[in-house]
Amino acid sequence: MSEPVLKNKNIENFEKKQEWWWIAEQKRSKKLDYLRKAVWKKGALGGNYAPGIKVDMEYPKLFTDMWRFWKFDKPIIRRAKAVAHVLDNISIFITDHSQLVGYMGSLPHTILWRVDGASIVNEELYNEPGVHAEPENESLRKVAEINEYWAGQTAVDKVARILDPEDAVKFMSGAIGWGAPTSAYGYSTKDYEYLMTGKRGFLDIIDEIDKNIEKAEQETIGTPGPDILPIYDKIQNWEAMKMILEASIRYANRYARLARIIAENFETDPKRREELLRMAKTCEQVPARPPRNLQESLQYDHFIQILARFEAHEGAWPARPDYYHGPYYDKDVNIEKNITEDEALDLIGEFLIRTYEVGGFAPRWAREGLQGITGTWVWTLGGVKPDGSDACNDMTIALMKAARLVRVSNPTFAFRWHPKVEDKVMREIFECNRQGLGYPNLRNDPILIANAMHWHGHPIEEARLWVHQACMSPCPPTKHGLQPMRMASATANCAKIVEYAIHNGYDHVVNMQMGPKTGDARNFTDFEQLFQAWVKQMEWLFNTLVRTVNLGRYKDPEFYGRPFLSGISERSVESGLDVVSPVGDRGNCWITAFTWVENADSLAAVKKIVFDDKKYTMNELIDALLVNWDGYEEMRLDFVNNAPKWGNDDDYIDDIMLRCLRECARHSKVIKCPSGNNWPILPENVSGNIHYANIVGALPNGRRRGDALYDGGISPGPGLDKKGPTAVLKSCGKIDHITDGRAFLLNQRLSPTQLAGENGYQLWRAYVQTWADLGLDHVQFNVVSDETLRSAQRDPEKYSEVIVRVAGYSAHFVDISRKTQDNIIQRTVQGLGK
Amino acid sequence: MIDNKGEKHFFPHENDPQKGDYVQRVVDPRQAYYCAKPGPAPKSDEKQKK
Repeated sequence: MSEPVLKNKNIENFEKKQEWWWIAEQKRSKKLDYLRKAVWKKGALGGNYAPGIKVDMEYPKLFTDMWRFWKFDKPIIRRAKAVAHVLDNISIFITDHSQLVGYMGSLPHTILWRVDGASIVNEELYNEPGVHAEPENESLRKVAEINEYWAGQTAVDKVARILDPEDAVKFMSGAIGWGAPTSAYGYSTKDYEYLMTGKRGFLDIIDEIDKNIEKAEQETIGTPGPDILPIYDKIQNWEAMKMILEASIRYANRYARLARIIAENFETDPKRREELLRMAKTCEQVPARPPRNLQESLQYDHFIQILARFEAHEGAWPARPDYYHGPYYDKDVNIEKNITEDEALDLIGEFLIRTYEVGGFAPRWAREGLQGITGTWVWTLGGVKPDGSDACNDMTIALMKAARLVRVSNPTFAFRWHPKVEDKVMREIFECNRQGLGYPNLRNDPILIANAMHWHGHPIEEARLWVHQACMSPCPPTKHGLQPMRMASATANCAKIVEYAIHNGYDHVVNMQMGPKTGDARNFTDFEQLFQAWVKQMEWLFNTLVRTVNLGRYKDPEFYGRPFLSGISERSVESGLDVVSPVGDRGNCWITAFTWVENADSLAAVKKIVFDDKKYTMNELIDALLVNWDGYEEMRLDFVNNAPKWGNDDDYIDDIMLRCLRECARHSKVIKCPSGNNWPILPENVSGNIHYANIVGALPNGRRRGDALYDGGISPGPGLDKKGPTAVLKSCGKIDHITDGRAFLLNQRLSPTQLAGENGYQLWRAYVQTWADLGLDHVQFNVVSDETLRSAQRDPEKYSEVIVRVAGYSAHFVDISRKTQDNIIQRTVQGLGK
Repeated sequence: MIDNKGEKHFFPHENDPQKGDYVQRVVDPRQAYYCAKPGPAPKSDEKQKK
């Protein structure tokens, strides 16, 4: 049984100094403290893996051996067999003091290497220093052998061969997009309404599949005709689904067996023995059968996520843990009193830690764009039920309490705010943010439900169930709503739009004609000409990325295959189609717009200083940009200081922002996804503002190439919002957060001293009310002082649990690059109540 | 340093004693754990456990 241990009576001192991480260490149970410190961090430190992290070599060998063996099977069957072989044979482990199990590497310090995703990633892995197990020569020899087999036949290789060559070259340049067009690296919502409402476990799904196969087999020996021909493929798909679900049950049973072996042969502590036997029973129950209690529910959920990751990289982690686990929490803690609140907190805290420890090998561009984390695990809390009533429950509060105890940077929480959220829940959200977690961020639920209905036609009851597909975009976890393959390659480096508008489509960084020729801007005589060039470049950029992504999605069942994800999705179990097939998918696509605000700031600067004030000519401006402002410092500062900047409630620039967004919104309805649905934009950044710093050229907002770009979404540039937090909200409030795009990320930095006490809470509540009244859909907070951050830069070991909100995710401050750290410190600290 | 030099103990499956799991105690710089890897039974002169 766990006990909160207050080992040190200086908690008051830590509170005064806002050193929340020391308080967390004092307050969490011995069990949680051990597990928190036991984690091997998989997020890259400024792009490099931490010392001691090694690539797992069991998975690549097991997977490749079986894939080679079954060479005549179609991909979905081949994948099912290969992954089943991995699940049956990969090493598993149970950490001391743990109550939950499941990990995709063979050992705690290993990261999974997906061999069939992209040859370029495989080559990068070979050359990555520090991640190969000793003896290194031996590991490299094995890597080279595996690479040789997979060269040319990975998912990305296959897509690249049929992509238009010009599209392929431009996409691969790294200048305009980010990600890979394959579900090997995509991320999927899960059909939680099918899987997590207690109605079925995997054995029930296998029963459903068996019945479908039986019926289908009868049809194939019936009257011949074109109608029965597709059934043959469906039977194979069903068989693949069944194979992998059976292997998944065996995998869980392996943990049950290990837990029993430890209990019966090694463990001497009676309490721990009892825990191990309970873990064994849990793994014998789930995922084969539906969960019956909180531990089983959490374990079931965790198994699903781990099993999906044996099949594909899964760069995000859509989840709604309070909604789906809440009933089990209520049963165990409140009704049957099987466990205490503290015991529940231990389970929930460990659930967060198990998630935090998950990570796989990612290419360097991904690590630089997602510094400190392994993927955007944004969990959705709060919101409403399908009938519109408040969905918050005791699990909502318990998750936030556990988060403050374990202080992991991933998962983070996003709270679906609505007008009827109780004060006690708001106080928990406030406390998490005040204690510097950088989450939960706030999502305006009424706005986003309407948004989901507007852009993708989700019915209101389904829209109300929404979870975060990744950092920001809502997606219903339902039969036709779920999006099985959201690929990050629909991510645009939008600062290039204004750069290409100025340089006639030419990219002077990668030295090639990228966008269309929209006219020599030196000859532009008014702003409208520049703006129309901007529109054309925007259309070209979005078209190029969406073409790539659409193709990847369309070909994915043929080039990749998702037997596990299909097996846990109602529409696949019913239809026999790979879940990635667009058939039956309503569509939930969006284009992530990195480096977005640079467009409005740059366009406004040109309009004001060149065309309105006539202080410089376009010729002079372009000359200065081409030399990166070198020798033009006074002119550059003019463009920095004397042009309107977004976030100051200034209609001059705010109107330009709206024009840009509305052109995108118009075009979003022209470009269609494979299901025929829209592609709205979603401004946000992760840490793309650092990754693209050297790729985006000098811009008219005064930025030099190499400077960090803005921190993303619709956040004003660091230090450029000079009129206080209300002005920021008012600028952002002029956007229609339902019709102008999918969602809009807003970073705000608040003063920790101002948020102290009841007064601080009331100030924050007033701010949130203004935010809601203005109809914004998102806001997230950094509440940490410059002093703490500078101390952490000097002495990272003492500040290892300081968390900051980077963009659509949080990270431990010491795990991000110096440039990103400085960028966060530069963000304006808003004084509330102004 | 990862201490995985601990003895591997073989635990056969009830329904097929020729197959089972090798269980080992490991202490790495961050945590201690038991790991298991499936494998064939050791030859008769090696140690076995039920």
